[in-house]
Amino acid sequence: MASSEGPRFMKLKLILLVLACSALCTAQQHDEKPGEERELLVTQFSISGVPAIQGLLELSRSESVPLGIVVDGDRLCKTQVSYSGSNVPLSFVVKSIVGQVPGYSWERGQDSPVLLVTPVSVRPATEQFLNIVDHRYGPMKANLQTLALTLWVHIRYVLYPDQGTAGSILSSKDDREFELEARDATVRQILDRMAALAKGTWVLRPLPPTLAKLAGDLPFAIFSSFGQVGSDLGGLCSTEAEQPARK
Amino acid sequence: MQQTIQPGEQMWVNFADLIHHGVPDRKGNVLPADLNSATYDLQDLNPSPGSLMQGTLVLDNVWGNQVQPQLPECCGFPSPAWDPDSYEIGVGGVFPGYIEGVDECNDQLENISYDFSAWSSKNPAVAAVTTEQVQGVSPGFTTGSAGGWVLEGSGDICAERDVQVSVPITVQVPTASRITQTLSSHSVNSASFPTCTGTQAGWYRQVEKIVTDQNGADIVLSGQNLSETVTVGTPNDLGITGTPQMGTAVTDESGNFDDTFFVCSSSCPASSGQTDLSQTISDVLPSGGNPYNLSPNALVYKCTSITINGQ
Repeated sequence: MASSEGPRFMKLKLILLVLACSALCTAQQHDEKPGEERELLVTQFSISGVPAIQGLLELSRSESVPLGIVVDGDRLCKTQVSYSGSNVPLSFVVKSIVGQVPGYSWERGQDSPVLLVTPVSVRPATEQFLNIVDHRYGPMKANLQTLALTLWVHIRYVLYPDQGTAGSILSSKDDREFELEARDATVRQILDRMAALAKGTWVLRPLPPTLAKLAGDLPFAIFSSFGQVGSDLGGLCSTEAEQPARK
Repeated sequence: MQQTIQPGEQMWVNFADLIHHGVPDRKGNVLPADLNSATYDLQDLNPSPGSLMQGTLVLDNVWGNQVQPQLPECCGFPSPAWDPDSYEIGVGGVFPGYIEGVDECNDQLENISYDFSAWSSKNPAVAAVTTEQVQGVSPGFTTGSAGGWVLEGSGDICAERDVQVSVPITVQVPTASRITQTLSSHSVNSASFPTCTGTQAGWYRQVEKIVTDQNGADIVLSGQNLSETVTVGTPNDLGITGTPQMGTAVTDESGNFDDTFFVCSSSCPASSGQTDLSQTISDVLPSGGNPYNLSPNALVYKCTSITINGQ
């Protein structure tokens, strides 16, 4: 008896095992968060004696990976960093570069593929700025400059609802356009989305002590092979000009 | 054998005498005494088609056989000219240039630059002209020239003519910009078009532009790097503060770029007021160098329109 039922029992166990594994694997795939996706291996990257912020921008550009950088003070601009390595995870490279800058750390976004480089101690104004909620962004399809400017118009409305915003956006005829829509998203989340779309880096310049004193110039920049928005590298570490007192 | 003859002269060569008398050539070689047939070449050592022509060939003096040998054929190119027939180029811009003419034998337009050996510029400080190439040096106007010997006529009636052809060259200075077309112009609010948000509303206008030169001519040049500054002036009825100058653009092969203007204000859509702004575009040519600041554009933003220099 045992010998005749044995194979049938084994076959049933095998089927159950396959089904269980199949279900488990599927569940694992669905539970995978953006930040936990298989991490990019950096084939080859090296920098030598460059400002940390420049090294990070080069990493983003050469590997087409989205980064977010919060600049506070001038350490990211003045600290010279070096790195050389091959076939290492992206986070290892970021960690190696940021580790050379006193007072800075990095983190992986919980709901975003963007690696964020930020001061260990983020000032309240910076936190407040990145956590401003835009209740309705888009849907819109536009170049990077227009996407960024639209976000800035919305931020200004939240901060200064009685003040108008006007602008001009020069653009090339062949600018790449991206589609973006967000509801009740924070500024950081929208910047992350832009960086992810453009495979670039958003950089928040140093802010004044209070957002009430934020001037009209764009306080963030985006660097991407599809275009650059805001300050160039040289202007990233200058403190955002304060708005002149209104008479 | 090698012999010099004067214009209008002719000379006869009797091959039978050369053979029978064993006349050596300039290298001392003689024709074999038993030679009864051969081929020959007639070569003009100072090529100038039409100046040396084989008149007739007598094959047999006894029987009087005479044939007309194949005469040299030529195809002339009357009225050669530059292609292009004028240049509007930026400083540092390098463009090709050819001399073309219509082949009188087949009426086809052909590049005959190879006939031209002297390429020059009347004012090299403005533009440099070298073989099949024109380069802008500094803003201004000059004339490029190419000189050479060109065949005129066709068939066996041909002559070479010393020809000079010239072309006007304007080295353009980025001076201003103009609207080539409006791509979009409409009101905006948080519901209809998400540039504005909340209770703000305003206007949106997208135009296509081109940079113009000191004479008002379009600068059709790709790779111009443009950036801008915009400042708020008076009146400022729409309460504009902080004016983003986001723009950077690179002109396409037609010299075109886009410019998008917008205004969002709590005063809109009700207000009939306006805010005046001034826009200055800087232009760095593909060759590099210092940026050219174009003439400022006067922008008038209203809740129901945006105009640029009154347009």
